[in-house]
Amino acid sequence: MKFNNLLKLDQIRLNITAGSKKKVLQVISDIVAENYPEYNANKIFELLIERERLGSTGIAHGVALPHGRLPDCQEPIGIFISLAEGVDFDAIDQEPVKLLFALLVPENSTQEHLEILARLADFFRQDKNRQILENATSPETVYNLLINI
Amino acid sequence: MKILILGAGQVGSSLAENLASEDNDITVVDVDGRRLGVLQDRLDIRTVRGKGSHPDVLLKAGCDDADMLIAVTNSDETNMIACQVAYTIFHTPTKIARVRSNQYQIHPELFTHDALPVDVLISPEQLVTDYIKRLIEYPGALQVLDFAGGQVQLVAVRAFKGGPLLGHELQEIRKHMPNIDTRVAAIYRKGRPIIPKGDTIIEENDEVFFIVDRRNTRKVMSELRRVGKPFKRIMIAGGGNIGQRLARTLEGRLHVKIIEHNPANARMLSEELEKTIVLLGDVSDEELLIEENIEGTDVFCALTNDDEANIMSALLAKRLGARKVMALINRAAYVDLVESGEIDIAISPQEATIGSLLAHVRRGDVEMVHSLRKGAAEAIEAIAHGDKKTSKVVGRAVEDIPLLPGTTIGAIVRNGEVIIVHHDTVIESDDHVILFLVDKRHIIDVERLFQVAVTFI
Repeated sequence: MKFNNLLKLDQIRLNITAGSKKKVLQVISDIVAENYPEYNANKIFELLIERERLGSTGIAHGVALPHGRLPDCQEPIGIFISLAEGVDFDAIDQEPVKLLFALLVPENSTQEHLEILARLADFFRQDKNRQILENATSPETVYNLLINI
Repeated sequence: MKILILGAGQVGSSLAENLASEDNDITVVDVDGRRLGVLQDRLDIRTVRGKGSHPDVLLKAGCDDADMLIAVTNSDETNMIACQVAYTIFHTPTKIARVRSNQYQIHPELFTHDALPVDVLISPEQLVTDYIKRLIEYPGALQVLDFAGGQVQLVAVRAFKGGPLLGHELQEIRKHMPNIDTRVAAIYRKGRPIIPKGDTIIEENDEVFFIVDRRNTRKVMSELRRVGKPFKRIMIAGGGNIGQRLARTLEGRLHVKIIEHNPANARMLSEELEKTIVLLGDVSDEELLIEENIEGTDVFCALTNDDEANIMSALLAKRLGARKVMALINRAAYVDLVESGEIDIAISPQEATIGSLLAHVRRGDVEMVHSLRKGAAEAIEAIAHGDKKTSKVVGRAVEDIPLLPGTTIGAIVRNGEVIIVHHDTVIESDDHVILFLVDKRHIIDVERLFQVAVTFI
């Protein structure tokens, strides 16, 4: 799957201020609901929280990939946000998280969705990619980088 | 975790103390500034003065960033409304409320997301009552704790004369009872934990913790001590909330007497309870106890809200010939004092209550937590998720799961069936896994073990 199918320019927000993991997940849920009015922000928030309870989606180096299965959703939805200041995400390396790529997938998630997550994890593991994203000031730059993952 | 506690009373204070010692970020809210001052002098917490259900107070207390709200003020209504406010205005993920009144508790439909959004209801009085009830069901047990809805029990017993296993190696339990499986999770000898192995020899006075299918609890207990006759006659000192609940639970099967000093309360009790004999009087009145056949009493439970009165009346009852005496003791220092003395069991309401809250503080999908040995040890029921790739436990034999010394996997419950684990038992997804940790500081490792990898969808 191409990433331009799951990510639109409007689904990228930079330099967001949010003081906690909980608040960050709320921001992500709100962005989804803004772009896809058919989904309820509270429901999305609850499913992201529920997934975090089973284990943090914070991978190392200040990156988190929160995700969940969204009932009635046909195609995966991606959201990217960067934070003005890192928040505690209970990540493996305990590093505060600054970059987040959230992914919502259909209820009957498939191997394809697993691969998306794996590709994201690989992408964010590379120092140079994180550096570009952390320093980016325009959503367009970020968009052009992310759709080519 | 960022946790907001509403109410700095007995329950709120002890919660704050327990949770603050575990690297949580705690804020306590109360209308009484003096109480908050006392707490803040002792603990590394933030305090906010005000009414816990008011949105502006919750905002000031940091509810917008909080992961959990625990509403334990002395008002059921304040607690319930605080959860509503937290849900509607702040989207707080986990909302816990203490609701004492039975009038609310009997209508679970009140506590749903489209009515009152309370995720977890706690009733400390009910938890303590259940705790005492289990002790009365199993004469000789020091502790009986339920897992998996009561299918599995963790039982603490002091090994005593008459137990066939005394002086023998632990592994002989298999020979004694070939059809019964159990797992000894820990042994405390002279107050210190020893890690049990097959060749560990059980000595008199060892405190043995074993994990067992509830149907076999009595049989395993009888290996460790001569199990006395079932309790028949019980005397309860104090007709408060706990005393009344306990009397109501037991009066169908046992002879129950309850002593209450307040005439109005005593009258109310005699109207509400059916078979229980209600006695108006003082719990430490020697003559009353003798008159009411304390000598023939199997269990004397001192359950007033006064620690000193409970200790003194329990001591007196023991001296006058009661077979077993229990005392409800709030102050941790007093629990230590009476532990090795005449009083058979000191019941700490904090210890009986904290576990049900810790289950929501622990990372991973944790169903139940019991705090043991004044918080030094912990027993935990966690649900395994994922597969061999995304989980560190699923698809692995118990012997291949890296556990620190003193941490034991005792049993699993799979599709409603209890399986006592052996070294080659393989954990499957959705198994409820029951672990015992001699050292609670290792809980973080257990939490990590049960958390799924990022690639779990």
